[in-house]
Amino acid sequence: MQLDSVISPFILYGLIALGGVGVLLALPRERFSLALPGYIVGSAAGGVILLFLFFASQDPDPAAFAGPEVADAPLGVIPNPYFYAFALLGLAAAMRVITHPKPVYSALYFILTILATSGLFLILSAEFMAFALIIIYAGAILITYLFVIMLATQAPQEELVENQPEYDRLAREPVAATAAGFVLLAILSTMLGRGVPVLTMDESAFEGDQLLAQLPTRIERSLREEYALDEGVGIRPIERIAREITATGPDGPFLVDPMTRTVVVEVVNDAGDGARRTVAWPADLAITNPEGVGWELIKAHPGAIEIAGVILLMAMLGATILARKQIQLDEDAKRDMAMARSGIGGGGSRAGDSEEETD
Amino acid sequence: MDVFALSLAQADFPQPMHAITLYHYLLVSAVMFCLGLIGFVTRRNLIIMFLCTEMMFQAAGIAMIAFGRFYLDYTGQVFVIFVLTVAAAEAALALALVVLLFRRKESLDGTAWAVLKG
Repeated sequence: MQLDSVISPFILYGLIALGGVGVLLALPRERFSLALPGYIVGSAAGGVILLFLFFASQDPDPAAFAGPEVADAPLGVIPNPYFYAFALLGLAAAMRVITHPKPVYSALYFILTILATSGLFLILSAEFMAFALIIIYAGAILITYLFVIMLATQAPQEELVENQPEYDRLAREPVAATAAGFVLLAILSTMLGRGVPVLTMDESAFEGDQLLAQLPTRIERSLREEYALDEGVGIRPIERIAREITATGPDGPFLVDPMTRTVVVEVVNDAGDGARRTVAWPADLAITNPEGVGWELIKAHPGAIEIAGVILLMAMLGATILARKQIQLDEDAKRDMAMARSGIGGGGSRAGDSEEETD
Repeated sequence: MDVFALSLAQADFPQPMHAITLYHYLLVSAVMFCLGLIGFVTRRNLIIMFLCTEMMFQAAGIAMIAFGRFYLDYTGQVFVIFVLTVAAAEAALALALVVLLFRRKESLDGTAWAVLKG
């Protein structure tokens, strides 16, 4: 069992159970709040698990790492402290999201979770997604959530938690839900360690150069920039990347060779018979993350983009239609609701009977 | 057989991973997913419940991007774009519904609508 090499399963389960107790304590409850000890216990459990992972990945034996690159790395490996910082920050904020009795604070902590997640994306060198996540999630979706929370929440008279509505102060089935969630977590973490025995990485699978060969203007631009800096290299302004000559003229595919990282350029003239020569790509020319994502998106999933556009359009129309529906309550319903809210009489259930809808 | 066979440390594409393995990311993803799940079940505020589903989306996104990084493949990232799209559409519709429900009962309590379960 591979999990043994990182952390003893029993310690792991113990820590997961401890984290569960922490979350359980931190969930909003009636009388006295145990949130603070809950946060401490939960964060401690998460921190200890991360510490185990940290020390396990400090394994001085490079052979323990299957990746040949790491085996070649001099003197063990350098830890990446940012992963631990972002992971702990994100999970602690996630815990606050589900336990904070005030919805506005929950939403703000969720923004912190998003920022930590985009930090993890950056470490995974998914720069485009990291920034898209901040712009779309933190910038758009969460602001909408905050609008609705502020719209739909009565302003509390004081900052006391007791003034929050009951549905924010009390958790529903906290014990059963926490137990179920953390049992799932225990199973998941075990399966992650043993159910995926070896994921070999085929380095030839990364076709950065093949991908660049599909983008001749990208190569041409980079070669022109190179010429602008140093006239000895790159392609001159009177040159361009040549196409293969076919029966109908030079209109075949661009002459780009990803294997040798070269292109064939020709002098531009009206006759189309300019002198050709072979130019090497700039050494540092590499595909960037947005280029890779964009190319994959257009090449492999053109239909999905259309469907995504339709989904967004439908959501926009649906939200507009739903939100402009007016609901007018007559006097009886208002009185019932006021009574239900103040706790006198159980009129709340009858409130739905006497409502009128208009569009 | 070693769990660090799952090593994410791939040469220098574009930067070395330094001893953070796929297992690390998958564990963070699993923890975040389970927290979102617990939040969805225990909280009674409709808006917080939807917020917890968004948190589960985040967790799935971490797992997908980590796998994509591991295989040096962009498909994981592309898939997260579509998850973001669906999340945005879901947020718009769900929040419109929540506003509608709030106007009816002046309450964000999910259990107030227990009558819907039939």
